[in-house]
Amino acid sequence: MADLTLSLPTGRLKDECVELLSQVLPWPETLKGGSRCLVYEDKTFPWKILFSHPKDSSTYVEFGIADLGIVGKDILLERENHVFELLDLGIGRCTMVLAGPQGLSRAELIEREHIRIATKYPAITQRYMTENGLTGDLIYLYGSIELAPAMGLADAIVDLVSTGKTLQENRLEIVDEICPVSARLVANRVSIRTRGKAMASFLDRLREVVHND
Amino acid sequence: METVFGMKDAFPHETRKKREIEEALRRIFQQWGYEEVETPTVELFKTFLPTMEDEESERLYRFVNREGKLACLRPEFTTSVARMFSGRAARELPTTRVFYDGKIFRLPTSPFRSETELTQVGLENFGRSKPFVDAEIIAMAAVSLREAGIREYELDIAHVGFVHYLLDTLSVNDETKKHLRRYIRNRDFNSVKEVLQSTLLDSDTTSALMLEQLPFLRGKKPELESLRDSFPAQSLFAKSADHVIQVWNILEDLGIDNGVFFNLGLIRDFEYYTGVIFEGFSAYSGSPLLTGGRYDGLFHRF
Repeated sequence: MADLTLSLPTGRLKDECVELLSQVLPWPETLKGGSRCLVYEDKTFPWKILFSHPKDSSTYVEFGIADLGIVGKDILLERENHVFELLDLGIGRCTMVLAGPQGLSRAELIEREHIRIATKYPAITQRYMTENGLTGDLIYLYGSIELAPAMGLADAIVDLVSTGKTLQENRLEIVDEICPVSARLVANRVSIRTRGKAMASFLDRLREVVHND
Repeated sequence: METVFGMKDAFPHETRKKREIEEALRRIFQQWGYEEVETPTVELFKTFLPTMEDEESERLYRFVNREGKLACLRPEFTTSVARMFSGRAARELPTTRVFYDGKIFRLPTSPFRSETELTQVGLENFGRSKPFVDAEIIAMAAVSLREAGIREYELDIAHVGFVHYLLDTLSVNDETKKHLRRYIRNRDFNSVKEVLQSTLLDSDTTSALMLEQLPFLRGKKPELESLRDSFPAQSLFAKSADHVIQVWNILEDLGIDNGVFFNLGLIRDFEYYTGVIFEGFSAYSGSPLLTGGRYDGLFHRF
């Protein structure tokens, strides 16, 4: 049990993660590019790598299947996994926002007696509504959240925004910024002790790379 | 027929295995002079309020009983046992060592989890906060892990005084300390570092550096001794370290210090601990197997 297992997200974040990690680890060539393999194990490479759905990465870490993982802060806020959050990797930067139809002010939106908010993030949305004294309905959707206000399913949305282009194309604009989001390094709460030394030195090297960028 | 979500059956092979472990633990507890007690499955909700944070009390199975009082299924045993023995003078206590073995009930921490009914086997030792009392409990923890058949178990010990002292000696306001405490509890050390670097003029003080490194400050007795010596002898840190070292010496004498470590980053979910805290685990399981600690003042709450 000398080697560490690392859980990486597939999808958009994967390439950025691989680029960052190859500055710290002797990243194998076969793992670059569009491999569809979900588990990577090789005698010449001291780590085992899992590729999981971006929303699941921290769950593999919480249950100890992986010792370390990379996951978006949005997922940590939504799932509240019992893991150690060790480092902001500075990649996958975006903002969690409340957005509504163009021209509608925050005051106008909040004054509505009953608003409907569509989101992929029910826990974050519920917390935001409670903290801001908003009452209303929450509609849990899986994707293309911008469609909901455009078609009248919801008054507003809570979602991640990076460039704001999708919002603009769907005649939406940011009403309120909820929190900044980026990829984080997380650790299992048992491995952080049993493999603490290996983790601490990996964390130091990674921190150097992240802060030099 | 369906079962209630989160509740499950145990078939013979699983039940057999569970009973074997329970019996091994009971045998050990009785051998060391602990006597078994039972507490009611249903208690008044207000019994648990003084020892629980809001978010924890929201996880209780609550209902209104026949008298219109808010009742709940027990979420743990410690509070019930304290209620059971409170109101008696120390010399009137029939025993100071008790154990229990039963089901506890908690609503899942998030919609993504399901488990709600768990078996908890545990023990309580009512006595003054002396190193030998804490050492006895930690010895029981080590023996329990061994008897339960856990391969290569490890046992981390800490003292709540460590983090208290490090926070107290930071030159930041109370509001910031409150945030830091919350981040530490949530194991968010990225935020701990960010807060320290943005609020402190000098973020290179020993306390700040140690708080940032908390999850990795783990080791054996000589390392704890040298950490202790880097703080003033009368400080809470040095006194807490002294207490842990005394406990450790006893464990060494008993020959059960194998697998014992100090861990400054040990984080307990319950707020009522006041002294030594500990956690047992194995590299073969992703979550802790056993937890415990010292709490003074729990009796006085009743």
